[in-house]
Amino acid sequence: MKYIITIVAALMITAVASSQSLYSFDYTVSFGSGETADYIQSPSFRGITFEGRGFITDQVSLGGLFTWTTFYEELAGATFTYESAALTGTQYRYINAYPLLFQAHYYLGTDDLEPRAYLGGGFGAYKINQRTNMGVWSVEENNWHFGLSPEVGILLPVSFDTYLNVSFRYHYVFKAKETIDHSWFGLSLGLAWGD
Amino acid sequence: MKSQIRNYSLFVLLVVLFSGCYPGGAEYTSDTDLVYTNYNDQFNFGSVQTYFMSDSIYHVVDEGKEPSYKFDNFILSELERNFDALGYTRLDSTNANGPEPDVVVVVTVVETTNYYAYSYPWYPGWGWGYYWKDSNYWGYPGYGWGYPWYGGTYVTSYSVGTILWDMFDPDNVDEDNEVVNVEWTGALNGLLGTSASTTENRISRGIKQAFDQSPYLQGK
Repeated sequence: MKYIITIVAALMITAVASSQSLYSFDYTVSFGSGETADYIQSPSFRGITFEGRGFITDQVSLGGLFTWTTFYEELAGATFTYESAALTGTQYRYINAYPLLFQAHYYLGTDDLEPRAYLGGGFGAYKINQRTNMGVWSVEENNWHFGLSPEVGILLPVSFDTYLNVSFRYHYVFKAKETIDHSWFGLSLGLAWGD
Repeated sequence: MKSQIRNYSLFVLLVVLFSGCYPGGAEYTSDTDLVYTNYNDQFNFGSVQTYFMSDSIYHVVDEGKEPSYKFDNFILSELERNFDALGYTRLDSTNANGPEPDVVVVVTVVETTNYYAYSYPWYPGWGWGYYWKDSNYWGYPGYGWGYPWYGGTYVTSYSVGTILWDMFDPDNVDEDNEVVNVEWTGALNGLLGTSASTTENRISRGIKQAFDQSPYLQGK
């Protein structure tokens, strides 16, 4: 996994440092899917995304992304059965996900003063901490994963070098050790600006 | 420079917003309450009509500590109340010549103090004022994000109480191997509180939950 992180970091730094850049900070709402939704059904309203992109042509950028997303759910007084045993208590479930991705995007149009839709995606390392607290006990999985993330979005100009950024992204994270496959959708809204 | 200030202002704003809604967890001792039950699915609970339950509870405590008998009567009365609701009849435990009960219930209370090295995640709201004033911080915007999965560690202690009861059939005791075969067991586990009324309420709710999640006791 450390090789993936090194490669992703090197690609991100190279891409952002070498050309015209675009940065963005977004508030991100996430919706679990698959096994992630089985574990926590509630959407996440705790998410933040930081991106840096460097343009290698007028319509193509390379860059990196860092996100912090927290899923949380309280299952109050739920009863869990296993064979003849039954256990009742309040479970507190948490997933903290920290993707660190290398990204590439293609932009429709080249005029900075017009709305520009883009599509792209990324791959890289996901640090995921999954924890269940019940009673005075805690079960935790804390691992690095490899994952992929396609994305579509649009940049809406609000001034000469500032944009409103809206994007919709899907994360698929491959299991590591005894963990589940994590996946979720992220809807981000924020500001982007160039230099 | 203007762009940098804007970058970091947004960064600060989003982190502060994010920290304000950091997820919660157990807040009260009662939030830690667990109710566990298990049973022998070969046992015919429908045939049980009478039971014997001692008037005393066995206590297990840390070495050097005195057990507390404060809630013993309450625990026994709550168990009896719930057995009564099932239609079970409690036999007089002092009558050695009385009829043999269908089942026997023994109750144990365990009170222990655990020492726990607790690793906590970085809570973004902590120490923000310090970073706000630290001009060096602006040169290292990634620094604030280094904490979330490292966190810190401290050692704390907490007292945990467990009320445990076992039901067995006196005709199903393996005397050769000295094994008492348990037909039903129940346990309440949680952090010990300080309020007597709250503790009684937690005990009462826990015992009722144990019976509720054991419908087989009615022979169903």
